[in-house]
Formats: sequence, C-alpha cells, structure tokens
Amino acid sequence: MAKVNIKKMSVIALQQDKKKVLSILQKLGCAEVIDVREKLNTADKEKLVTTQTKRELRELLNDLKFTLEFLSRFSQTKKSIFAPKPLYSEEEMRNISHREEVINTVKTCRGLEKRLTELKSMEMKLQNTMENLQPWKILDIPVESLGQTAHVVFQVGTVPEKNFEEFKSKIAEVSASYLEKIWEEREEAFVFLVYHKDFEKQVGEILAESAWSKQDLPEIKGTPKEALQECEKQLLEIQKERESIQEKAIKLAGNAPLIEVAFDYYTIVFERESAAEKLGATEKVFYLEGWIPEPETEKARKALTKEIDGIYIVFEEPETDEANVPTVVKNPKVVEPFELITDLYSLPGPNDIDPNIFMAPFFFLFFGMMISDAGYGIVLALLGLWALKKLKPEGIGKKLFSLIFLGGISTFIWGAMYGGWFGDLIKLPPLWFNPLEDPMRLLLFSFILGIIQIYMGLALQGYKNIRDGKTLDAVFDQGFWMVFLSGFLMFALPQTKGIARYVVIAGAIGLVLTQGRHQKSVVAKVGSGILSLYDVMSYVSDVLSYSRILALGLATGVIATVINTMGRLLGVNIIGYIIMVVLLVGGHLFNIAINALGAYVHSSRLQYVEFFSKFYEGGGRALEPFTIKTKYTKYRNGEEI
Amino acid sequence: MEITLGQFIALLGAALAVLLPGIGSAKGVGIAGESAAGVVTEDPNKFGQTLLLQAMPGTQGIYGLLTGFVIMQKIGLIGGNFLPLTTYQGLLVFSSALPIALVGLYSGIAQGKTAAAGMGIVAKRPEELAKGITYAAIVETYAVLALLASILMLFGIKF
Repeated sequence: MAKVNIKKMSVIALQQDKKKVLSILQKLGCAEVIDVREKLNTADKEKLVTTQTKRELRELLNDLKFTLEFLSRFSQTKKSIFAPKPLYSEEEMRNISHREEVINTVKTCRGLEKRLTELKSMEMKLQNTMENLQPWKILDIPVESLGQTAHVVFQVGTVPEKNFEEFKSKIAEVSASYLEKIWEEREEAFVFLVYHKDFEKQVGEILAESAWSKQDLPEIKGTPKEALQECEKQLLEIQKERESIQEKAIKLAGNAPLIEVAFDYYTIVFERESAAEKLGATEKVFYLEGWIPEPETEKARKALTKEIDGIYIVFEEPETDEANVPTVVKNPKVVEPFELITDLYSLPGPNDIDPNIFMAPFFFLFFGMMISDAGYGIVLALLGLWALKKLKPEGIGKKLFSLIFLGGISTFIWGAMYGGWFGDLIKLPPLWFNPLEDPMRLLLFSFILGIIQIYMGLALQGYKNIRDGKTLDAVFDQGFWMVFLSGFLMFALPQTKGIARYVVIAGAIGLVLTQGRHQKSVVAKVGSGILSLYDVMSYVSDVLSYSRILALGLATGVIATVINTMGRLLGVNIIGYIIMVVLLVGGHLFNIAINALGAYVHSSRLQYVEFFSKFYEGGGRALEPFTIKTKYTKYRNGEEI
Repeated sequence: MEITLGQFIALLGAALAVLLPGIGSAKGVGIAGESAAGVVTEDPNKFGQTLLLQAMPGTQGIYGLLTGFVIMQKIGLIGGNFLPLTTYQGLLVFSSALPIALVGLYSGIAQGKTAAAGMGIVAKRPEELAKGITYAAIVETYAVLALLASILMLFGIKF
C-alpha cells in the first residue's frame, strides 16, 4: 500500500560458512549487501583488494560473451524470442559449465576470430596491390627490373593526359631515351620511361614541366600480369579458408546453449564474489551488512539459522539520518503497473509518501480519455494480454504490458462513452455524449478532473506537513490556498456565487498574512505575502494544462475519421476495396501507435508536472537485491542449499 | 459553380494548417533523427528508444493535417457540397487555422531540438529515457493548446 519499511540486517558468522551464507542470501534474493569497506580505515582496506577470482571470472565472462556473439553470427537457426528458457538447478549448471566443450569452444572461437581478422587484412593488402598493378597489366617486363642499372634508369609514372603529346615530343628530343604509353585512365596517361643517366638533368626538367608523377609499384616478382594472376589465386585461397572457418563455426554453433548456461552460471558466481568483496572480515569470522524489507526478515532469519550453526543475525531500524536507505514500494496488484510511471520519474525519497495509489486512478482515466476509441481499446488490451501470456515478462516488461492492458480497458470504456469505434467505422450511439458535438462540455470535465487532482496534491502535502508535526505549515501553505482557490470555483456555481467573494477575500487575507512569515522585516513579510497571491496564475495554468485531455481525445477520433473517409473514397471497385482494407488496417494501426505514445507521454506529464509538483520530492534509490540474475536460462531452486 | 473569394480564403487556411506544421514536424524529426543515427552507430540496440524520441516532433504535422481536414469537412470540400462562403466567412475559417499553423511550425522545430538533446540521455543513461521524453512533451504542450484553440474556433463558427 505504500512504502515498505526497510531494516538493516547485520550478520556475523564463521569464515568457513561464508560461501553458504552468501549462497542462501542470493537464492532468497531480497536483501541488498552493503559495502562495509567504506567504513574501514585505509590500513584494513588494503587487505581487501579485488580478489583474483573476481578478475578471472570477469575475463571468463567476457570470453563467454564474445563466444556467444561470434557463434550467433554463424548460427543457422534463428532463436525465437518466445521460446521458453530452459530450467536448470545450480548443480546442473555447474556440471555443464565445467564440461570440456565449453572451454574448448571458447578457445576455438577466439582462434577462428583471430584467423578471420588476419585473412581480412591479407585480403585488403592483396586488393590494394591489384589496384595498383591494374593499369600496368600490359607492361611486359618484370616489376623487379624497374629502377636503375649502372647507366640506365627504368621508370613508370603518370602524366596528365593533356600534357602527354608535348611530353612525348620533348622526351623524343633526348637522344638515349625510350617511352611507351601503357594505359590511360581518368585523364592520366600511364607511361613507361627509359633514359640514360647522362641525360638525367635534362629529363628531370622535362618531367617537372609535364607534371610527371613517379609510381612505385608493389614489391613483387614477375610481370604485372603474372603478379595479378598470383594475387587472384591467393584471394581464392583466402575465400576457401574463410568458407572452411565458417563451416567449423556453424558446427560449433551447436554448442551455444552450453555456453549460455556457462555464462549464466559464472554470472551467478561473479555476483557472489562481488558480494563477498563487500564484507568485513577477520581471520576467523566475517561481518555482513544489508538492507532488507521488513516482511522478508523472518524468512531470511529462518533460512540462515536452519542451515548454519553459530550465526548471529540482527535486524534494526535504520538510523533516522542514515543516508542511502533504499526504497521499496508495495501496492495492490492493480496499482503495481502504474509504479512504472513513478519509477521513471524518481522513486519516493525518505520523506515521501508512495504516490502510486493516488496517481494510478488519474493515469488510468487520462490515458483512456486521450485515446478514447473503443476499438483501439480492444486492440491495446488484447496486445497487452497477449504479450503477458506469451512473453511472460518480468519486472519492467510485466509492468509495461499490464499498463498497456489496463490502458486498453480504460480506452475501451471511454470509447464506448464517446461512441468512437475505430472512428466512425462502426456507428454506435455514445453512452454519454460525442465530444465532437459538444467539446466545451468535455473541456469543462477535463478541468474538473484537473482541479480534483490538484486539490489532492495539496491535500497530500498537507498530510505530509501534519505527519511531520508542521500543522501550522499545513494550514498556511495548503489550507489557505484551498480556501482561496475554492472561492474562485464557487463563482461558477449559482448557489454559492453570493458568498464566493468572501471566501476569496478570506483566503487572500490568510495568504497575505502568512506567506511572508519566513522574511525578517515587516515590510518584506507583507510584500512577499502579497506577491504570493500571484501564484494563483500557476494554479490556473496547471488547470488549463488538463485541456490536453480534450485535445488528444478529439485528435484520435478525427484522425480515425480521416482514415475512414479516405477508405470510403476508394471503395468503388474490387481493386479499390483491396486498397481500402490495406489503408484502413495500416492507418488505424498507425493511429493507435502514435496516439498510445501521445497518451502515455501526456498522461505522464500531467502526473509529473501538475500533480507531483504539489507534494512529491522523489530522489529515492531502488533496492538492488543480491540475487540470481540469469539471461538465457531459468533458475530452479535446487535441493541443495 | 461560381468560386467565391471566401472559399479561396478558407481553403488557403486549410492549406496553411497542413503545410506549416508539416514543415515544422519534418524539420523536427529530421533534427532528432540525425542525433538518433549518431547514437545508434555506437549501440544499434538503442534503435527502439531513439525512434520513440524521434517520433515525438512528428505530432505537429498530424495536428495540422487534422485541422486541415476539419476545415475541408466544414466548408464542404469533402462530401462534394462546397459551401458558397462569403469573404468574411472565409476569413473566419482562415483565422481559426492560424494557431496550429504557426505554433505547429515553430514548436515542431523546437521539439526536434529538445528530442535531439534527449538522445544524449539515451546514449549515456538509457534508463532515464522517460526524462528526455518528458522534456520534449513540455514543448508539445503548446502545439496541443494551439490545436485545441483551432478546433474550438472551428466548431464555434456556424454558417
């Protein structure tokens, strides 16, 4: 119903029982282990460096994770996300994890991956070489003979195509020289050039003038053509080796389930080692501190004392100023999904009350009103129900799909009230009224809901103040505001219109007199008292903000009508009917998606900005229980504890 | 059929109501999408989360289309019975299109920027996605209010 009381658990037991104690706590999975090392002085701390095993475990987990990723690349069978997770006890998991295939698979995969990287870089190098050689394919001298002899220089290079003719004629003037155009590509001429060293200077000048760029061919033997063939051959071999690696990997992928079990097993052990690290210890005994929700304390005590002799356990209230106490909330099953909304904002802090039960009805109402189409409601509710049954999600996923289911029900109810069934596709008379015909009525209704929620927020803050012994604050800050605001509301009703003025004035006087009470001088007291009346604007804008309920509700209905109208325009012949069906299904699905998102976002916003701002501080920290976390398997509580 | 100036002005209103918020949303989802792509380069698993944020500035365009459609229905363009509006009637319809047209344009872009900034939250602390969404939703408020004003005006006009 509210926040659960958290106890501080202290356990002292013998070192030899440490593994057992941790194992029991992990299986219970309800307590968070506190790191007591922070309380130790530095001298003691040095004795507690990260254990070797933990480091090794982390490396092992990395290896396993890599292996799973590697194998999934080659896996032939696509695993369905709906497939149930296999059930194992810790004993079974340990046996599987210690099997030789596991470590062999990891090693082989690492090897294969390394070889694949090597092959990749070899391939790149070859491709590079081939690209360089390609233009010189018809050059029929061995590449290694390029360079200089005692008297002659052999060179290959490029000149811009437009310079080539001039270049050719200039070189021809040099007596002992030879030149041949081998290839032409992208405005460049690829040229083979031979000249005598005696003319080096003269040739050098010509080369510079014609923008000659000397090419260094890769270091290979034979003519470019032969080299290219050799490269092709090597590429083929690489491809062959890659295929054989792939075959091996596909075969190994059959071991993936084993690796998954090992991954989960070592994660459990790793968690245990991490918890062990947080303990205080002497030679013979160890000391464990933890947070535990009060309802779980007896279960924990029983489980521990039953198995272990000579264990000392005590549960205490945390000290009032104790920081870092985690928050756990417990609500009725219907309200539980709505916890997600608060969790995403911020968990209740130490002074907060659990807002979920007060927030849930409003969120439920608003979500439905913002979509407000009975047909869409049915779709959403069925989707939520299907996901809950089929995926069997836990934690956040479960809350999310339950929320979609409940939101769908609310949407269905409001849709029926407004008479919206997939827009105007199915024409049923509204149970209440059609907001398109009388939007002002719905606007007023939205405002009334908003006013109720804002009053509730004020009342909750008043309750908090009274609870903390600040009764006067509750009267001044919340009571007078309620009187003041109620006065304005009374203007709206003919019966109370007469006295409304006096109520407003009474509230205003109260506020002016009290809102400046924290100021020092009398002038400042009166000044801030009067200024505080300006806050009425923020209440007005809060209430106006609820008009989004109407706007989003209308938007859904009108878009649905647009889709239907477009569909009807098409329904003239067979092809038209087919397109119409596609358009209707696609259009309505799109409308559901975009409006469910909008309804979620805007309902949340009304809670966060308009409601929570009145009384809720947040800033709580979730309890992080020391528990069994599995990713691929389901843990079965084994016989051995 | 004689075409009146009123009809033209009313239709211009409908056109602007679809056009301007459409531009705003296109720009908004574009800005958000650029950031989203950056986040997904690092971690492709965040596609769903980033898509959610990217979709947010898209609503202005829908609101605009919605208003445009209501106008078209109101003046009888859809349904085949185009009302012979007077110039003043046309101006009334035109005025009612203005809130969503202009607010839709600017809030779409502003929301796109907020959503793009929210991508940083998704990149570094994906569990806090709701906060990024809330920031973007605060911008959207004004588009919703403008839509409300436009729709109420349209429903209020009686020919």
